[in-house]
Amino acid sequence: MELHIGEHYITKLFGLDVHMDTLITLWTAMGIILFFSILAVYKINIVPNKIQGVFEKIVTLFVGLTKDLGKEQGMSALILMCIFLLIIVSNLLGQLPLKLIHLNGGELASPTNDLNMTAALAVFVLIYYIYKGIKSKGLSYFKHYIEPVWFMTPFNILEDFTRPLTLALRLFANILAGEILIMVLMVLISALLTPQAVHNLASDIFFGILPESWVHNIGLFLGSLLPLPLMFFELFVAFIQALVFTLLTSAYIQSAVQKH
Amino acid sequence: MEPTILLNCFKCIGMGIAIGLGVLGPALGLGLATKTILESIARQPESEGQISKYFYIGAGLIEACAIYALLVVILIAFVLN
Repeated sequence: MELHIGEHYITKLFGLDVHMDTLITLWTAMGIILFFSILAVYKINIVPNKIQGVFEKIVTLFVGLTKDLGKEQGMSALILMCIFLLIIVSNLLGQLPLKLIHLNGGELASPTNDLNMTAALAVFVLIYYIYKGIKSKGLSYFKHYIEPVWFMTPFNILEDFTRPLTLALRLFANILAGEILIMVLMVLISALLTPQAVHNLASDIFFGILPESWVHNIGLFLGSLLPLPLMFFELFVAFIQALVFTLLTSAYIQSAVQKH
Repeated sequence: MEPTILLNCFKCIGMGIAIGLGVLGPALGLGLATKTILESIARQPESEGQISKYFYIGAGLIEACAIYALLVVILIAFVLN
């Protein structure tokens, strides 16, 4: 079995390459968020029912996160919440057994293991915090490029490029590395259980009591349990990476808005 | 030796060196962070939840550095020809 990394199911649309697998899972994630949001606000009540309570908790969390922003708070809180929900649902979607669905070239996985998607999010964050800075300070926002002394200007301009780059790469690489680790551990057992190895196991360790096909199947079953702890760790990583992306975004917005 | 075998040899050497040296820094960083959080929890056991919340975020940021090294290794292994 070979590993396929970074291969996508490409469709041509208006002369552009479209990664269909990323698109399918991304729209699935958006559909899930939309479904639960509509479910939460469908019968809105002063005494919240269960799902409305969950959404109120989430909104309260992000309102608390952006309380330093003053009168720019409302929209930033909503944008941060949207980014967080989209990233965490996309990350967790990759843990479903989507590999069972076979596509021609490329596999369904979480949409965040495509660099194009995370880069689009990061560029959106860049545009958004520059917009917020200009909206709150006017043209004097651009004064921060020469802020401590004039020869720091190249570094300040470079910062605007490194911020989206690290945001995009961190999320993309974490999710991709997790999926590769799980895949490597899954492939490992089929690489170890060669017919010779199965024969040796059956004759030396089980003394020929069990037939070789049984030994092979038991080995495959035990080997398929091998990536299980890593999968639990991936659930944790999915949450942490969504949180890190959101917190860094809020820090960038705050540094663009704050007055000296 | 054939050029493709030679290229594969150098790829393997490069991958090993890249992941080995790349994980060194994040390992030191995570060790320092864990040491500090253990010390501060030992000093103030009641603020454990507050501190560990920030520790998880910091650990996520530190871990990303090791993931960058892994990304370079993956690029060498699968993209470079």
